[in-house]
Amino acid sequence: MKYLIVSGDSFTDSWFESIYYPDMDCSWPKWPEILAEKLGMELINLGRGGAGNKYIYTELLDTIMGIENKSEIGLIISAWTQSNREDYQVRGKWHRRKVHAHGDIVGWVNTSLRYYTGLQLLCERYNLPYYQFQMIDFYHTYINNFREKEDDGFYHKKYTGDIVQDKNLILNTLNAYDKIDVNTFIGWPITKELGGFAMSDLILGDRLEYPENRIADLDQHPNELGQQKLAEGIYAKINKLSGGNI
Amino acid sequence: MKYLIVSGDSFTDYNFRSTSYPDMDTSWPKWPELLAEKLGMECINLALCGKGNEYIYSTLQDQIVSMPNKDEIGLVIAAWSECHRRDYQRGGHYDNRNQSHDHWTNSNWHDEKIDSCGDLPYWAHRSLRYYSAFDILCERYNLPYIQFQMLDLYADFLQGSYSRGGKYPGNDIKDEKIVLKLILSYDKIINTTKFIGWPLVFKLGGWSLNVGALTGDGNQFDQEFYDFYTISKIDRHPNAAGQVKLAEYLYDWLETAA
Repeated sequence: MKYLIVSGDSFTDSWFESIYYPDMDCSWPKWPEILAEKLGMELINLGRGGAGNKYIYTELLDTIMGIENKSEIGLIISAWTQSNREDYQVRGKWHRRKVHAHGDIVGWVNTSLRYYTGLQLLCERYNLPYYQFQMIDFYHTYINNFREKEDDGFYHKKYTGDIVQDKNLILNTLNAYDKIDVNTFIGWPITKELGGFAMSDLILGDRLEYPENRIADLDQHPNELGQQKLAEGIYAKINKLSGGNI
Repeated sequence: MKYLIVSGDSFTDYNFRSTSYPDMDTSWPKWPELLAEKLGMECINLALCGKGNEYIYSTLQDQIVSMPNKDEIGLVIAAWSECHRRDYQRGGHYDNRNQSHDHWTNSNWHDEKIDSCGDLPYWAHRSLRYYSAFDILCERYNLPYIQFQMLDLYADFLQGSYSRGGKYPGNDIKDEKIVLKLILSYDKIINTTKFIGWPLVFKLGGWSLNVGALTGDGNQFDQEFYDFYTISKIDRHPNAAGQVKLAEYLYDWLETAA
């Protein structure tokens, strides 16, 4: 049985737990497990709650390079997250920050795009079947008053940069970025403004219009139904793009 | 004429200035330009003073991927730096024309001497991942390439050179063992035939190029040799003769490998 190797953030994490509802049983099947079953593959799920794009790329790189016989790999899927997140390791364990310690949103967007291209290069180098997509929004949440947890609860942090100017810079960057293989990047160029999409927005729909796919208004993660829909939607997309050859 | 594409730190920077001697004229030719001339190639030198391995990898990836005709690339060289450096970007404006001898004008890259996130084993591992990713990048496009550690990967940091009170902030023996084990684990991942001085550090039988080329034959440290090829005892960057020596060393290595 070949491997389905997946990486991503909390939307992809097999062990997802809601920070808003810590007592909730969230052990429902997640989209990678459902998809692996549909594809008849053995799952390696690297997705972790809170992870950033560095983690997502690095874990895929380490895992793929660690598999000596690359023909054992049936499919790789990267479900990218927000560009503002930072990952690093201490004593071998991954740590995370909601927001990078240095740089700005325009720089983080560039960094993430490099990971997306890096994954593409890696898979092309070894001729591995792969797909990638933006699972959740790339930069909107950060720019539009980012929500961060503090000891005394949750609050909205005001964006300190020039929203209009920075948004234009990001859109220009995405628009000019011609290094991505659009046949394997589902939803490219990522944002609605440019005609792209994030997978969760496309499949789960607007949180107000389709609340049945999410845990609650306070926790927008997919519930059991949402995970099922994600798996079906992703399966349909890759099936179509691959001509049923996965 | 094909391109020689190079990235690195101050040892490779076309516009290198000595911080110890700010008035010194350091406009002597640097090894990438000298090597390009020997190879009959046009040089694209992306190196910048103070930069770390994220910068080096990122600039190489950006440059290579953005070139529509990969046949124009004659050779790619990554001259890696210390692992504890941190690079990041601010803003979106840079001029990425990369003409011969030109620089990233208005570069939006910034750096920290010591990364404020993570620890030495992580920084070393992060660098090894860049080295592996560089292999992948060049192999993907079937590009001729070499890489080497220009400066020692971690020795200065381990010796406490950057720490308050000159002490390593941790268990140096334990952490070095972890790093050495990590390097050895990349024996199977890195294409070691393209990595000059692999496995990187003297303790494992490897070396960095500043030692290998500027202090003798890689194993024998010769103080007179080192003094001759570097600016001074307080600035160990290569002087004009040192830059020539680096270029000759690399040219000879390439000739032998061919």
